[in-house]
Amino acid sequence: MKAVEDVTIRIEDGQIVGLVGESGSGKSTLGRIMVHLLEPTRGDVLFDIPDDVLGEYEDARATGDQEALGRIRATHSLTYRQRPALGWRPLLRWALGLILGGTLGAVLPALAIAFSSPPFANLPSDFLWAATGGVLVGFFAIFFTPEAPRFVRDLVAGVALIALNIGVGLAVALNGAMVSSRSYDSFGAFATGYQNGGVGLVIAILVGSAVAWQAANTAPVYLLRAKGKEADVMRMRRIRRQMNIVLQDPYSSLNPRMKLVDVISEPMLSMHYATREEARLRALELLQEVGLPEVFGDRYPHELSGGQRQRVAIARAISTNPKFLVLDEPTSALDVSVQAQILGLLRNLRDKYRISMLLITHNIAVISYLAEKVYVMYAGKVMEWGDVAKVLREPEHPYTKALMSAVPIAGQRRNRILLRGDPPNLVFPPAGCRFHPRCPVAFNACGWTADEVQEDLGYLFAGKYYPALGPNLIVQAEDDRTVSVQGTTNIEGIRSLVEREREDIRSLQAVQSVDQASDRIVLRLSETVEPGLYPRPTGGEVKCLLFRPGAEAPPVGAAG
Amino acid sequence: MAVAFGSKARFDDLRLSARVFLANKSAVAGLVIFLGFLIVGLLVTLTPGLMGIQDPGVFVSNAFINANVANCSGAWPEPPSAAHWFGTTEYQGAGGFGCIDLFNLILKAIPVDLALSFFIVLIGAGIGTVIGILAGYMGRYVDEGLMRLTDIFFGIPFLVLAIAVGFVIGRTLLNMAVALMIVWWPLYARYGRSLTLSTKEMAFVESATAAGSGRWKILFKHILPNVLPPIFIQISLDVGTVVGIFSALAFIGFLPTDANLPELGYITNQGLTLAPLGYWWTVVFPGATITLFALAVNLMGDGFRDVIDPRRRS
Amino acid sequence: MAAALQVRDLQVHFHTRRGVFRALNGVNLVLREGEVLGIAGESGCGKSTLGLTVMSLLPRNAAVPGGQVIYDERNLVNLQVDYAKSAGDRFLPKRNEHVLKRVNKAMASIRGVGLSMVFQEPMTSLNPVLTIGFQIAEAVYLHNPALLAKRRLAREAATPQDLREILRLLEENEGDEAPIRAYVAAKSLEGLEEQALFVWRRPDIHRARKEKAILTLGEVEPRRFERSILGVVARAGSIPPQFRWIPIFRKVVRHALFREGYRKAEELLTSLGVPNADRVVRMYPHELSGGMRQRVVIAIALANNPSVVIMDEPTSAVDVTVQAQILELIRQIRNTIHASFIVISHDLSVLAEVCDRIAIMYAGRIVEIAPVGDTLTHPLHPYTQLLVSAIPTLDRKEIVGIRGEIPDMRDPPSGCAFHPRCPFAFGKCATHVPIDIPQGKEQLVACWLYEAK
Repeated sequence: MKAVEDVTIRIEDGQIVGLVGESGSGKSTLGRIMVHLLEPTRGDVLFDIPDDVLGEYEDARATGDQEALGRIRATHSLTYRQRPALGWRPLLRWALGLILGGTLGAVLPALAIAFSSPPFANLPSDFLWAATGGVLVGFFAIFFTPEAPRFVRDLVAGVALIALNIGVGLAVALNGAMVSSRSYDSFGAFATGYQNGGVGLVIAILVGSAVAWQAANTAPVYLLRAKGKEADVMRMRRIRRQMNIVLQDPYSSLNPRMKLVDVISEPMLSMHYATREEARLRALELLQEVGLPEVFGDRYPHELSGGQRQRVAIARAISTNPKFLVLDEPTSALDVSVQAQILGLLRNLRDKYRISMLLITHNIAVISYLAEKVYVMYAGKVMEWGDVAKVLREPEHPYTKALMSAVPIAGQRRNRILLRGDPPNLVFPPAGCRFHPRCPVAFNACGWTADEVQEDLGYLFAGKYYPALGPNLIVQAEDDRTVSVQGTTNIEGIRSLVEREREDIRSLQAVQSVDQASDRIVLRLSETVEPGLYPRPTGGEVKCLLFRPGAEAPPVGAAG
Repeated sequence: MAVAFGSKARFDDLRLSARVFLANKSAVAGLVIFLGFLIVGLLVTLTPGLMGIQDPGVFVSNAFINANVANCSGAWPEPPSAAHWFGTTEYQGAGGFGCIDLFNLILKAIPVDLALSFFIVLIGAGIGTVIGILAGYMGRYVDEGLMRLTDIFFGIPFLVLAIAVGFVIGRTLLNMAVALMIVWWPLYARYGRSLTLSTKEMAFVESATAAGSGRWKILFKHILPNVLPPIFIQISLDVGTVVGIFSALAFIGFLPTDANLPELGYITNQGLTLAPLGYWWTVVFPGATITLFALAVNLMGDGFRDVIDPRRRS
Repeated sequence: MAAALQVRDLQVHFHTRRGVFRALNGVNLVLREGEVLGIAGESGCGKSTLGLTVMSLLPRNAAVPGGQVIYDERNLVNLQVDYAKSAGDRFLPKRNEHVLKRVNKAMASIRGVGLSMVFQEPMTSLNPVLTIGFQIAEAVYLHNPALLAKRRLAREAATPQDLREILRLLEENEGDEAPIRAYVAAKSLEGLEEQALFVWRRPDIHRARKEKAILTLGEVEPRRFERSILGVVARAGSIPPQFRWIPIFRKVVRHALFREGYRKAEELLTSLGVPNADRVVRMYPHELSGGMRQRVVIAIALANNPSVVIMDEPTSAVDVTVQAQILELIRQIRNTIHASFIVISHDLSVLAEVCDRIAIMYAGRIVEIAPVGDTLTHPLHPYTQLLVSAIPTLDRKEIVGIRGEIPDMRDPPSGCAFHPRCPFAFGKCATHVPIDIPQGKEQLVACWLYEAK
């Protein structure tokens, strides 16, 4: 399920950007991705990136220049990882190699000896010997020759391993032979032992060495990975200091067992921004900054009201002097008068510290008060974006229009655009434009499927057109773009039905042709076009086919 | 400076908690009885002489046997009287050796039972909670693996296990405790896991992650302080329950007849053959002590739950 | 104008371990017949408590030391007031429980029938393991099983001529109720009229379909055993005890009545704008969206044609676009149903949409009550003024909060509860509780600023 798809958002320094949408729009997910609480499946979050570098980045993406991309991402991307992305396969290979190589390198020689002389080999220690030896040799080879080309490293490792295995095998053989022959004439015993199990022994040694060598080769990569991880952690720490999030529910966002001064100090300590003492002092300062008395420092969250708690959450969020703050529905759980105070506080903080903010909310009025730019999201996609004043005063996208008309304005009876239905299930999102099932001005290319047309036709046939067309109609969706009607031959009736109802029932806009086939009437639907982001007349972009440049304006309904 | 003000708030909170607890009369009664048992146990352990106990730690001492072979060997138990408040009972392990003062015996048994139940519950809870918290916090494979392991142990009926343990490694007090520990920890694993899971989802954990706290830091600073208090409550409740269980085990004969241990269930077992003959006090008094203790701890735990659970507070 | 509900000088105190919270401190309210009254206020002002007190749904630690709630010429809280007054400071929740038992007995015939309530969270106020149809049918089954029985019996007893006659009456009189009722009464077919009228009023099917539906109302599977039992229920007006205790009768009665109840549930849901009601009644709450659930909860509240409906934050749990649907629905309901509504919300703009009058509450008192237009354009009470100016509007006007905090209701300020935060407070405000001062024809303000000199 894609909670968010193909979303591009741009936030300037010191700008407050609003993200508005209803439940299921993906706005909360997006907010969390931007502070690295969630990982995007694809795409990038670039932080603190100057305009020119951004231009380079976009060029690099267009041309596929991996090198430049990597360079830019290393400095600015939240999702960048220095350590190579190793999956479980190399790890598995390594483990298997270790086990197999060790086993083979130890067991096989021992077995070979055993078949020619009594088995006195100490299997477990042999195995350990061979395995450890192999890995050590591998590390040794890699670390002391890190810059050498790979084949040299392989060679060194291989030779060392073979030598090791021979040595082990020899020891085993010697041991066995000595005991079996009960003689302490080493050379003679050796000769006997090797003579008897010679060939098998050699094969075993070679195979064991090969496998262990392969394993040892991959092992050092993990060490490098560990080194890379260290660098990653330091890097993320630096970035994390610059951003933070304020969550919706003030009643559960503070640990009930921590004093407020500790709550506020926590980010500073976790990100190693300040020492314990410094953090404590700064926490008390921050309390005052957000309008609470210093004495609150030793209180616990349950002694505070919702608005006060949210202030503490804000104080915590700005404790490391971040450049960017995400606020996920910061005032939805608060009363109106308290909300006003919090919004005022946010504005002051932005003015004072030039913090950029992403304000996520479903309340458009709040956005209009605080934000400069707004993105409207629906079902995981951005439907429209632009300057707040422009988008809210002149909404272009039908969804934005409906949203704006739904906002209750005290003192006015609104003429509402009522949307039918509910936000879609994102596991099976609507085809084409995600808003088309509820859109009052959808037309033929917007993404109608045969199933949708079939359902609407069924409703009409059972209702309004029941007397005209009779009770025996069966409507079926033949495939994605064809609907068939059986049980009548009144093709003219159907045609006129479609004509008459297409204003009200938008899915009928997609009916391109009505023809008579052998035993049924076939309605073919037009093709769907996936909407892209098209420029708005007053700046910004809108994702609606109505604004596709060059397309002929389709018949637009009254609710425009 | 701010510290002074803060302590007041915490103190108020304690006062409120105390008030909530004290309002529950039965919980207070339970607490009093439990404390009574504790004090008795301590006194018996530290100053047995003062309590009139000559031979702590055994059902009956060899010295006593040797001294009283004449009158007590084969003597029938005497009913409660001024001399023997709870009457006397017999030690079957020495072939019906009577004259053993029951009240004294029970006093001796109290610290043993207390210690044993604490031992079992604390270790069982310790193991179980650690496993449960790890499973809940790590999630996915660790969670699955640990929980399936827990399920295996859940499926073991404690009686069968106890008998098996008794057969295999011997019927001693320690082995009985071990058997119970094995049975006990899965409960805490499950409980700890569910508490961890629900705490993990809270917004302040998310905030802490956003603030850059590492996984272990979050575990110790955020998860544990919220998960452990209910666990402690559960431990306090279980202390009472476990006494009942291992006493029951001893009562049905887990401990051999000649174990010579002061343990309430064992004492009851010793009187088992006598009670149908009319010597009811040999079974009733130790049994009542077990019941009283379990009841007291249960009531006390209820009171603690009132304090912790925010909804029941008002 | 008649009053559907009256609240006089109502006081409610919550006795908790942390102290006594004075939730309501003398609330005076008159709900006129047929009007939609809004109650606005922030958290802690007591608006939800007011709704709960009217329905006598308070927890056992709530004392009602004074006041009256008058519905249908009865004081609904007299038992609680008596106990609270006699107990005084020694109010004991345990004793109160006994009082509440008697209260519940008395209220059983009022709750859900005369007074009904729609709660805040539709997800938690619906039972997740029962179907929608069951929960709606249950409301009717508990209070008016005879209606269900009569409906079913009327359908069986109606002859084709009866149905044709009803259809003719509907067409002739354009769906006017009176002739239908008269006919049905004359023919002893009570219960049939609401079914016929429902079909007639459906907006989503065509006339021909409606005709067919009405004419086929009489097609019921004959079940003699059921019919005779239902006859007894219908005549008795409720389920007689022998049917409740004897298992076989109980089963048959429940089964038959609930089946009819499901039909009625479908009717209710369709009238509230739920599509495919026949499928919805067999679904479970978790399968529905927020807006649907809200409609279901409203359907349950309206099932027995109550005269007063209290809605507690009906739009707080839903999205903006769904909120618009619900508000539209409320507007539509009030036009078709003869009932009076109380809508409780913290959102003034929501109330502005649907209410005739708005009452503003603060610290357990009503500080202002006025027709909706006046409240928002010319707020009189300083609190209302500040509240209105705190609402962010689309034109980026400056919004101001109100300094200070909501008072601790264990120890509310003396005199006017708002005076510590009021920018216009003067001497009298701290010492005297303001009385309701009429302003103009319809407004009342509880503020000394408006005291006539």
